[in-house]
Amino acid sequence: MRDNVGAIHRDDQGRPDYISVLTFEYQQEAGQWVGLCLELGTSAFAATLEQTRQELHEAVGLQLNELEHLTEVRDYLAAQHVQIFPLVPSETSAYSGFDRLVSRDYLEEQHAQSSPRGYSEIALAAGFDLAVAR
Amino acid sequence: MRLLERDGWTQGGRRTHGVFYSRRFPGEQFPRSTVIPDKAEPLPPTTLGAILSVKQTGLGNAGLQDLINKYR
Repeated sequence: MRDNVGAIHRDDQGRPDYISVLTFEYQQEAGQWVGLCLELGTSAFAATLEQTRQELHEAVGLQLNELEHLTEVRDYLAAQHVQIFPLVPSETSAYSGFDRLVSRDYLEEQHAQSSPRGYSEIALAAGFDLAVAR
Repeated sequence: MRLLERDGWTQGGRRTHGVFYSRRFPGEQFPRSTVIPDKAEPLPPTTLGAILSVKQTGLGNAGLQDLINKYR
């Protein structure tokens, strides 16, 4: 079972500025559910699928937000071959939190509408939220 | 987690179910990092393999065995 998850990055003023698309894979293993982020290698496990999903989101969010203190996360994500979709400023208000659902079509539409200016406005990093597209 | 700390890995943030560790290696552009589940249960093979993989610590099974031999 796989989820496409959008990790929504916010700039230093709290505005979403880009989304990176991650793939979370889940399987049962020795009576437990195990989740794995294929791009980052982050893994979590629990007794139920929903709990595993929650814990993997927590783990990946922790990893991305901690990495922000240590390196340029956008470059790191690119090096892991993660798809990155910049968000143009006029569209950023559409994203307001962790539970926002995004579809791959919507992400690709955003990507198609992005301008070079949108790329250049990606600046200081302040945090990641994760949203699932199912 | 204790093995990583003894091997020079730095603990970062903690959440309910996991702890972040990172370490910089010479010649590598990005720090290596991992999130270790903070649970009493043993890690399932997929989770342990992920932690040891090149996407996280890069230790591999042999590297883990080296740490065990070195610090235990």
